[in-house]
Amino acid sequence: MLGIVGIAVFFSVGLVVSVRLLGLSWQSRRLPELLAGLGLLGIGPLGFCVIMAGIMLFGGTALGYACRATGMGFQALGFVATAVFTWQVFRPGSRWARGLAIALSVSLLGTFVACALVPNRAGVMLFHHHLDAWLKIACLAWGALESLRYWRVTQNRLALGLADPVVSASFLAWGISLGAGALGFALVWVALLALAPGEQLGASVQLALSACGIAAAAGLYFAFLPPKVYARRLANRATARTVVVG
Amino acid sequence: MTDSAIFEFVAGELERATSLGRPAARAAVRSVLERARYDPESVSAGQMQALIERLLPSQIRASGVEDADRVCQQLAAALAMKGLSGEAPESPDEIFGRMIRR
Repeated sequence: MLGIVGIAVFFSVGLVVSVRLLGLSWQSRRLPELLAGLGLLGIGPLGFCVIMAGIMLFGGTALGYACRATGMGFQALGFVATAVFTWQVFRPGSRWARGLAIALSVSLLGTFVACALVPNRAGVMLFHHHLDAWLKIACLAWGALESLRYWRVTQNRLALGLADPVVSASFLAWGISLGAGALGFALVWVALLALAPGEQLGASVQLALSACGIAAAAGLYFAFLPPKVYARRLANRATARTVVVG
Repeated sequence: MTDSAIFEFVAGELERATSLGRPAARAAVRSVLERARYDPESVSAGQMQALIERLLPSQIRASGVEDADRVCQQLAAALAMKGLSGEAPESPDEIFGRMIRR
């Protein structure tokens, strides 16, 4: 129950933000909005909900297996969209970033197929389950690092009066959101390693997961739906801190 | 990578409009780009316009150019008239700026 609170908050905010981004992509016909919307929807609300429905409603049946595989497929596509978003937004001209995005995408789709064909039985994780977890963590961590790095760049420009304070803050918020997601996945991986077959996640792990979910949701909210009061405060603070040049 | 047409145009115009030689004019433009952490290869016209208005006057004034404000105003107008679009892809600021609810 503890873990569900944070995850539920993340799903709710993720659903609102992803639907809004997909709506924007429909209007603008632009790739970044589509990738961010699909990434959020696939990783969060759609992927997890279908997986959880399979486990909770149809556990142990063929339908349960189908739900789990489908949810994992949505999640894999969400992670692929997130990797491509990071490349396209933060390093569009970079060969290594293109290579990393392609490598992550191909590997994620590969581990998805492997996990669907050879599922985790009796709580025993096989090589492809570990690889799948680390690819997902890498995907989120890369996005977080790029966004936080770019936030630093915009902070420098902000001091020179060359950047928008709300947009600059959204890089920080997006970085925190992805970072919290990476931390959450890493936490689950470590916790699963320590579990005996059939054992449930402990209360402390659930609480930490809940905190990650809330941090990710708060990041998403401030990145894409900043309240007007918050935006005004950022603008006022930026005006006060702008260096007078010349 | 080679410097963009925008960088070449602004450095060339600055050299023509002032007593700065070619290396000094290019160094002045490169310096303001570095200060704002833009690449000479991919800076957009809009970003360069902002730099000319905000940072370049003090930069060339420090190099001994008199009437730096007027020179920069003319430079900005010339860049706007030239209509260079640059090779820059959309910046992260532009992308996130579109995605944020205002």
